[in-house]
Amino acid sequence: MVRINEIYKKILKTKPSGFWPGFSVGLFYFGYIFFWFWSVRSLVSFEIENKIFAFLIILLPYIITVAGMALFWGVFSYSLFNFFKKTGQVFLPFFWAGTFVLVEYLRIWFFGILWAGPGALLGSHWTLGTPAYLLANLDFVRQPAAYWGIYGIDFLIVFFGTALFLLAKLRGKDSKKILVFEILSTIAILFFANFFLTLNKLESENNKLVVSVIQTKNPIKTFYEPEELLAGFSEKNKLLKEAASKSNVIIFPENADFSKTLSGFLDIDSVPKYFAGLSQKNILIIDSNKIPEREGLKSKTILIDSKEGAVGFYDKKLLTPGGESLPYIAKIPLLISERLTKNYFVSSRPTFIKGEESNVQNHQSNKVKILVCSDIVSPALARKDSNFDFMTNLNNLAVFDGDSFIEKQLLSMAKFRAAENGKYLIISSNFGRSYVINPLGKVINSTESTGYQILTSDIVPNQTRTWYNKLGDIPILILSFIVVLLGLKTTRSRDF
Amino acid sequence: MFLFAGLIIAGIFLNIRDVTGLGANITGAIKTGLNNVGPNGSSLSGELVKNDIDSDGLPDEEEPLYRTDPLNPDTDGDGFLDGEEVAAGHDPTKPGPDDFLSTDNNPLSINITDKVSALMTGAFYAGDLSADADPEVYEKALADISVEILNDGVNALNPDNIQTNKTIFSSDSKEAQEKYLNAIGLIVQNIWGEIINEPRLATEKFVNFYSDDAQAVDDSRNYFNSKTDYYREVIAEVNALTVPPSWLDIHRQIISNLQTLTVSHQTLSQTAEDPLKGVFGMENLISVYQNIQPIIVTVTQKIRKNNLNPPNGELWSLIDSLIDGF
Repeated sequence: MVRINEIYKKILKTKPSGFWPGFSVGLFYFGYIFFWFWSVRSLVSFEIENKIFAFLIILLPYIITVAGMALFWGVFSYSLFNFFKKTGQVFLPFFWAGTFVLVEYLRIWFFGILWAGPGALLGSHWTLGTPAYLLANLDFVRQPAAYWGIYGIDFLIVFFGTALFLLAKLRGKDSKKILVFEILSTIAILFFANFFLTLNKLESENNKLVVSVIQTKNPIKTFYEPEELLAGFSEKNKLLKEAASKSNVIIFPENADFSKTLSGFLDIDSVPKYFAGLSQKNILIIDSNKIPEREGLKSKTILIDSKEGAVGFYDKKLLTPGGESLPYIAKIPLLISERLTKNYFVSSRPTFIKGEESNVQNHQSNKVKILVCSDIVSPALARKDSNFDFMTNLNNLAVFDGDSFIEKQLLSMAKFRAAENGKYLIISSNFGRSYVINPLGKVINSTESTGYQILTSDIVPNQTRTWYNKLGDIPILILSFIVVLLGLKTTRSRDF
Repeated sequence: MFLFAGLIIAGIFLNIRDVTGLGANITGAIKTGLNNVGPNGSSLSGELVKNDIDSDGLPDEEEPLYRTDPLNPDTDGDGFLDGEEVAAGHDPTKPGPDDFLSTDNNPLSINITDKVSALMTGAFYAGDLSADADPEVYEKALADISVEILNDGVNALNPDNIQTNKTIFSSDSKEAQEKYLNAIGLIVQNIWGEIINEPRLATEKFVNFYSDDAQAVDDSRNYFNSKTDYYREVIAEVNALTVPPSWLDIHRQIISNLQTLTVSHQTLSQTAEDPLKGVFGMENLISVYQNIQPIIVTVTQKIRKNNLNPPNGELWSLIDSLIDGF
C-alpha cells in the first residue's frame, strides 16, 4: 500500500504535475474500451496474411486512439490539481463535473478530427467510451437522458462521485452536511426525472405497427462466389416472404444488398411486381445496398413501399474510419508500406463517400429516422431533423466478425439514442443480434442468437418530443461552461 | 476520349438518316484539302503527305506496298480515296465494304481509334471540321465520321465473329429436358455470378488502361484476355450440350450472350492500343447484364409450364419463388 502511494505521488509530481494520473487512468480505460480494434476482420478482406504486418497495422491506430483519448483525461486531471484552488470544497462537485463534460465534449470532437479522412463528418459524433454508456443498463440513470443526454449523465456521474469522494476524504461537519445534501439531491433529481418520464406514457393501440427485422449473416467481401450469393439471397427472399405476411415494416441490416441482388435476377419491370406480390397491404421495406456511384461507393438505404416502389433513400453519413474512409493520418504510412510490400491493398480499394440528405424519411403517416451502423454513435445525428416517429439502426458487425464486445457498446449507445429521443428504436443486425428498444431505452425484444432469422415486434410510433430531442446538448454545455468559468476564479492550491 | 465520346453522341443527334454516300464527303474533303489550303491558309500538300502525286493521302513510297496506282487516287474505283481506305483498314485495290486489309478479315483487327484520328485529321485539314466551315458541311462531316465509328464498333462487337459449332439435338422428352436444364443451369448460375461481380471489377480494370503504371495496364490486359478465354471455354461447353428442340431458342440466346461476353472482353483487352474500341466493349458488356435477366425468367417460366424438375435446380427454384404470382 505504501509502495502504491509512493508511485502515485511520483506520478502526481511528474511535470506537468496533475496530468499523469488522469492520462494513466485514461490509458487503461480506453485501452479496454477500444480493445475491439483487435477483432477487426477487414484485414482479411484486404488480403493481409502476414501476421506481423497485420499486428502492426492494428497496433498503430490502437495506440494513437487510446493515447489520443487518454490525453483529454490527462487534461481533466491537470485542471483538477491546478485550477479551482480557491473554491470551497462543497462547490468542487459542480466544477469538476462541468470540467469533465467540456473535456469529454472536446475529446469526442477530437476523435473525429484525429481519424478524419476525405469527406469526413466533423462534430461531436464519436461518443465511444463516454462513461454514461457504462450505466446504460440502469434504467434509473439512463431514462433521464430524455432531458439532458449523455453529457448530463456524465455530469451527474462526476458530480455524484466527487461528492462521495469528498465526503469520505474531508473533515468538518458543515461541509459533510452539504455534501450529503448534494448526494441526496442528485438522487432526488434522478427520481423526479424518472417519475415525470413515466407519466402520460399510455400508448395508443390504434397507431401500433408490426415491425419485422430480417437478421442476416452476410460477410463483407468485394466479390462473392455465385453459390454464396445465391444461398444468401435465397435465405433473405424466404424470410422476406415470411415476414411480409405479418408486418407493416420490414428492416434489413446494412450490407443486405437485397434490392441490388434482386435486380440481377429480375428486369426493371418485374422488380415492382415482385414487391407488390409480397402482401395485400402496403409494406415499408427498408433495405441497405452498397452502391457504386460516380463520386464513389455509398452505403445506401432504400425505402421501398411494396405497392408504390422506392419512396426514399438515405446515404450513410458517419463513415467508419479505416473501414469506409481512409483517414489522413493513416494515408502516408499506408502508402509507404504499400510501396515496400508492393501490395496495393488500400489504394486499390474504392472508398465510400458520405451522404448529404436527411436521415428522416416519410412513409404514409410515419416519419422514420434511419441510422446506419456507426451513425448510432452520434447523438447529434440521431436527433437531427428532430420530428420523427420511430428510429431504425441498420447495423453491420461483419467487419468485427460479430464481436460481442463492440456489439454491447453499440447496444448501450442505441439504448441512449432511444431514451434521448423518446422513440422506439429497432436494430437489424448483420452478424450480430437484433433488438427492439422502447422509448425509455429498454430492450423489449431481441433475437437469441446471430444468423439468418426474423425478429417481429409491435411498436407504437409517437409524435412526443423530449427536451433533449428539442434542445440537444446545448443546455448542459452552457451550464458546464458557466460552472467552469465560476470555478476558474480560484487560485488556492490543494493537496489530497 | 471525350472528343471521341462527343463524336459518337454528335452522330446520334445529327440526322444520320440523311447521310448518303457514307464517306464520300470526307473523301472529297480530304482530296480538296490536300490540294488546297488548311484552316490557317497554309498549304497542306507539303505538310500532311509528302510526295503524294495523286493526292489520295497515301504517300508515293507506300503506294507499291498496297499495290495501288500512284497516279490514281481511287485505284479500285469504289469512291473512297486509297489513303482513306488504308487508314480505315480497307484494301484500296478491292471495291466493296468487306475489303478488309487483315488476312483474317476480322473486324476486331481494325484500330477504330487510329481510323477515326485519320478521318478527323483529314476532315479538319480539308476544312470540313474547321471553325469557319459551312455548318451543313461541318455537321455532315461529323455525322459521316460518327456513323463510320458506329459501323466499325458494331462490326467489331458482332457476336457472329465468334464461330460456334453446330447444335446437337436430343429429344423433347421430360428426361432430356431436365438433363439439359441441369447442365445449362450450372453454366448460367456461374455466368450470373460473374455478371453480378463484374461491372465493378471490369470498370476498375478498364480505368487502369489510362494510368501511367505499365504493370496495371498489363494486369488489365491479362484480366480481359483471361475472361475472353474463359467465355470461349464456356461457349465450347454449351455447344457440347445436347439440346431438346423446344429449347433451341433459349439455347441460342444463351450462346449469343456468351459470344457478346467473349467479344466484349476481347475488345476491352485492346483498350490500350484502341481506346475507342474499349469504350464500345464496355458498353456492350453492360448490355449483357440486361439481356441475361429475361432469359433466366423465361427458362423458369418454361420449367413451370412443362412441369420439369431439374436436379440442380437451386437457381430456377429461386427465380420461381421471385416470379411467383406474376
